[in-house]
Amino acid sequence: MSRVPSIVTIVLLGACSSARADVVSLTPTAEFKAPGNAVRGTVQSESPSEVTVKLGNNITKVPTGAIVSITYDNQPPDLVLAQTRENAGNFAEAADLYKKAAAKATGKPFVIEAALFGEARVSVDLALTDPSKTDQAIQLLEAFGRTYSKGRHVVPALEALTRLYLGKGDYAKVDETLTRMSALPQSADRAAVLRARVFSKKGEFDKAVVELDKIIAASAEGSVKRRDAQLAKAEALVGGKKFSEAETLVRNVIKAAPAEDVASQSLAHNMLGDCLRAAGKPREALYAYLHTDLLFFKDREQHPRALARIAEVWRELRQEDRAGETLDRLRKEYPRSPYVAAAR
Amino acid sequence: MLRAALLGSFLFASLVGRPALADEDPRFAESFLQGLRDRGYHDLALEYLDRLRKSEGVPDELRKRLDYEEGRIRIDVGIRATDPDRARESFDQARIKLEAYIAANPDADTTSGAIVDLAQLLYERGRNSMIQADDARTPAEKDVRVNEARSSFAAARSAYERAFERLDKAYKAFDAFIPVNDPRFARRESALSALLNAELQRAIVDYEDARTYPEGSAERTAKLQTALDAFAGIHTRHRRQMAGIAARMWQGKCYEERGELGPAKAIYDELLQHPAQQLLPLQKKVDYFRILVMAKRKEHAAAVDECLRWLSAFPNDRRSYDALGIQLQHAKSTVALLDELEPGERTKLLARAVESLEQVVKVYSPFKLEAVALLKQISPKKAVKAEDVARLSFDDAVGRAEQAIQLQQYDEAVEILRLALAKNDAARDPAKYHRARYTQAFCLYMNKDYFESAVVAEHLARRFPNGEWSAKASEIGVAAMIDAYNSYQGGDRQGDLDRLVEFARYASTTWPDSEQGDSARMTVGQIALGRGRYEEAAAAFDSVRPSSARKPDAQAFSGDANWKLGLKARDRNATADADALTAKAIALYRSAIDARRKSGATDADLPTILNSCDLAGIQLEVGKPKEALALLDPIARELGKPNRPAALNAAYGRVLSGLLRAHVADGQVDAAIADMNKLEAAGGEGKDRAQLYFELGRLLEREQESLRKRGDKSGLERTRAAYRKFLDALVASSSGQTFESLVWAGGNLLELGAGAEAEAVFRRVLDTYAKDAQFSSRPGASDRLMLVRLELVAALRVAGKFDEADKAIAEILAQSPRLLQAQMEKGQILSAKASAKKGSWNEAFAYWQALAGRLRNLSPKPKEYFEAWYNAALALEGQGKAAQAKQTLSSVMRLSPTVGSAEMKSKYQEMIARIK
Repeated sequence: MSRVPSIVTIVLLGACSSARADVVSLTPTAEFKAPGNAVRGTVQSESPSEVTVKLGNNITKVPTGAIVSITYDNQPPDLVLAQTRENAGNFAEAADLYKKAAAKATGKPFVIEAALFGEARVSVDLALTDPSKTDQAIQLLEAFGRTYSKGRHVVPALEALTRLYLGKGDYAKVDETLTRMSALPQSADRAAVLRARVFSKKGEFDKAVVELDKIIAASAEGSVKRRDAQLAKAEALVGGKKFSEAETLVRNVIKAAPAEDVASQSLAHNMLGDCLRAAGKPREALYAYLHTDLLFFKDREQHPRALARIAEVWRELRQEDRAGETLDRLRKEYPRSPYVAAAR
Repeated sequence: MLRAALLGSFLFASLVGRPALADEDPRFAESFLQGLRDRGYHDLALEYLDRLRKSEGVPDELRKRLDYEEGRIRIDVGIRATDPDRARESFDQARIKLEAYIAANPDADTTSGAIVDLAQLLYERGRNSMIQADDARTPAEKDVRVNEARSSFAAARSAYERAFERLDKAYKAFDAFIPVNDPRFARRESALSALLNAELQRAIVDYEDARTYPEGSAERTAKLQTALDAFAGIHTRHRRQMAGIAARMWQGKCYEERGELGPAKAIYDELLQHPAQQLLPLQKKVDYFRILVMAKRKEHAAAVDECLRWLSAFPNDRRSYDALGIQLQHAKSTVALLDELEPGERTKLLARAVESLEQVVKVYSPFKLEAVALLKQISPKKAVKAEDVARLSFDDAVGRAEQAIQLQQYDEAVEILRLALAKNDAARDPAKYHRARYTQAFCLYMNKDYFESAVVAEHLARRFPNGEWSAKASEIGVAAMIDAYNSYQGGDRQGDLDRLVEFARYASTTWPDSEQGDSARMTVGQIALGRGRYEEAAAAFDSVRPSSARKPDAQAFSGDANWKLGLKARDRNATADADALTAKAIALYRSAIDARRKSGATDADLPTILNSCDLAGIQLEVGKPKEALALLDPIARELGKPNRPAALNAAYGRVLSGLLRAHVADGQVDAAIADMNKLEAAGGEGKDRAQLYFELGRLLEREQESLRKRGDKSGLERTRAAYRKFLDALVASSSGQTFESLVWAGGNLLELGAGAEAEAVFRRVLDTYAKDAQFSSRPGASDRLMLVRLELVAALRVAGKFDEADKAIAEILAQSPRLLQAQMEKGQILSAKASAKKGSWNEAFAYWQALAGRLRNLSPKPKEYFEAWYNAALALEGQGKAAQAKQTLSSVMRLSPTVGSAEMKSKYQEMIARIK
């Protein structure tokens, strides 16, 4: 009889302590593991390479590459709302809410940084659907990068910036951004891959392949770096019309990646679809994209891309009804996706 | 049938070309395949299966299951097919795959599931046949479909029983007590669920089987009781299980079907009050059934409200079976209420009912026909106004045309499309333009505007060979050209046929890997066959793809073409070629029959029966009566059952004729006589029976002729003996005889030289029918009796009773001196007497010469003229004047080279050759 109240008390205390902590959610496939796929505690510091979390006397250093998201204790409700709007594809509203959340998070530097990066991030999405907003997005990202050059978001911010400059064809700025990125810890590899992709964008496919081969040779089997480099190489090979070689390479990436690695599989299958389509095999490409649609749809970045491509291929195959059905799904599931705008 | 097939083709989504082989990652194969099925991409799923078959690295366990997976996909295709012909085709293909898998893997874990799937497809096939029965245009066709449904339900029941036994064994293999946290617990629950589901489904098959019998019939009542007992048993034993609760619903449905609406409604109400969330899908159906009960109780106002409530509760469901049923019921109850409504309310409710019906007519279901009729009743056709169509967008106009198609108002659809197409052109939106043109060709065809349909379809097929709708347009074009050729007899018919062949060839080469290509090949082959171009026909039929649903038809036609080629080869004495072609024909027919059997065809399947009859005919011709009997016996037994559909009567007659020939050829006289009796019983009345006797005579004559040509003396003797015995038995039969049957038997006995027996028969005819007032009142009765008297004279002559013959012919000639047959018979008596040395050849010659002289001036010369000269020559020969006999025949042939007929010419030539 005497033990029952104490158990209840412990449970309640546990619940209180959990509710008041920051929660760092981890990617399921990351090498860094924690019970429940999350690290709870108080975020002590954030850097481009890691986030330090303290729980009691325990200090945990979580690599930024392993982090999906961080829910901060006492973060403003607007931040959660903004994320919801962003997930729903309502980028303009999300941008406003992120701005409001940053304004309301006085004294919470990590929350402010997360909110401002959120605002910058959705501005990139807005720019993808409306090119007239590209400069505004660049301004936001540049300002963010300068202010939070040592924060955990700086690498994705610079990567987004690279994409925007690439889209504009401003290769000098791309080069400058990648130089900044490669100076950051654990980002040199990503920067190198992106740099090689710039060659592809410029039409210098052979040069891109040479650079990417170097990266592939220097990277470990099964690493994300190797995967990204291989897929970038496939893209360059397609550009150079070496379709068969590109297809073989992507199929090898697919075989090498674990079946449950949704991020790798979705990206690789979409790339495979692109290779096959460029090689004049739309029906084969359809199968590749359908893998992403049917099996790896949890990847919210690659899934809309696959849907858009599937709709295009159905149209090429003169299956207008199915093209229409697929576009309807794309519009319904990703109403604000840039692929919806591109499909119009 | 062709129209139905085209209607199906119109509604059926097309498949596109197949890709090259590629490596498939086996890790994703199963889940990807399932994803394709769930998404409804069945064409891709089938194609993916082919890729897996060819792909290396597919695990053996999965590779073994590929047939099973294909079967499951084809069941999905059948269930979702938009027309019943396509559905049936898919179910048959699924059956082949599932049966192959089950046979190859009798002990696999998945085999019980495969048997359940097989049972489900048979059940769905039965339901599909019932939809076709509702759609049948004639009662006979309906009978065939209903019988098919019953066969399918019987097969489904049997498969569920097989599955039940296996599942029961698997369930009983578990321990009686398993702790909840033991992994075996979930497996045992799953085994129990599968077992109960099989038992429930078996009872549902009984329920559906009962519904194939007319309301109020003893069979329906008995079968419904069987189903009711089964449902009650499942519910009593497993009232907490999902299957037990579902059985309760079906129990209610059985009461409803029996007209016991009170108990039915009580069960439905009870189930609807159940709070468990997992029952919601079942309750959706129960709710539908409850509304049907309300309507049956004529509570129409409440039924309308309840239908609308149901539809608003499930706004995204307008196409499921229940939703279609609810929408139809909504319209029916609304119509039943109309007289009680105020004008304003009436218009509003009627508009809502029309909306409901428009949804129902869009989908092929058991409700469609009734919905179409009701929609025509409450929303009569209006004339198409150009200004109305002009206001519509192109898409809306095409949509309106498609709505008219659903109501079978093809003329209206044609007019709308004509106006819509005038607003559009190929350059602006080719895909939409092509579809609209295809639809226009289809509507023109259905409206029997064949020439116009052919023009539109050919334009689309030739002008846009890569268009999505062009291959299907070619199918319509070919069908329209065929119907135009058959419907209109004027103009350049040869040219029309050439144009049709040329277009079919174009379709078969432009879309070689499609059903349309195969259909075109069949057309080319059938026309070549009709024109006697057998090699060309065989080549066309042989080029039909092995995977085509029409392959068995193509094989049978090719068998026919090869058989005819063999006959031609035999005529030119190319025996080796003839034998090879005959063997090929037999092999092709066998393949066709085997393919049909594998796809589930029973002994009552018309194409299988006809192919079997054709093959049996060939086997008889090549002296293999036992093989013919093996083919025809089981079919004859099946068709001999009392519930044979009327549509199979003609086929049954053909089977019995074949069987009779085979029994005769095989020396099985008693069996042949039994066939004769069956044929008579199945052969209809009066003139049909006379025709039957005539055909039988011809049949047996051909049999003997065939044996004679082959030089099979013993076979010939055997057949003649059998034939004789058969005729004796027929004559001896005291019941069922008619004038025609006796005359026919007497005539044939006479031909066999049985003069005395023939005499008895003809005397019997004269004794019976000369006194029969009813017979005498028939037109031409006296002429027919006169012919019998002549036959009697011939019988006396053959029996050597010359005095009686002389007396009888004298009486006839006194009565009818100009009767040519009598004059001929008098000559025959003279010749016979001379031959028997009881008369002189001189007298016979003089008679025949004089008779020929009398006939010489007739124009055209009758066959008796040539017959008279032939007999005159025989008389000369009898006198020992062979050279004069030969000269006589040669002279006649010089003046009349054909000597009246091929048969007579042959007799002349034989005699001339003999005299040499």
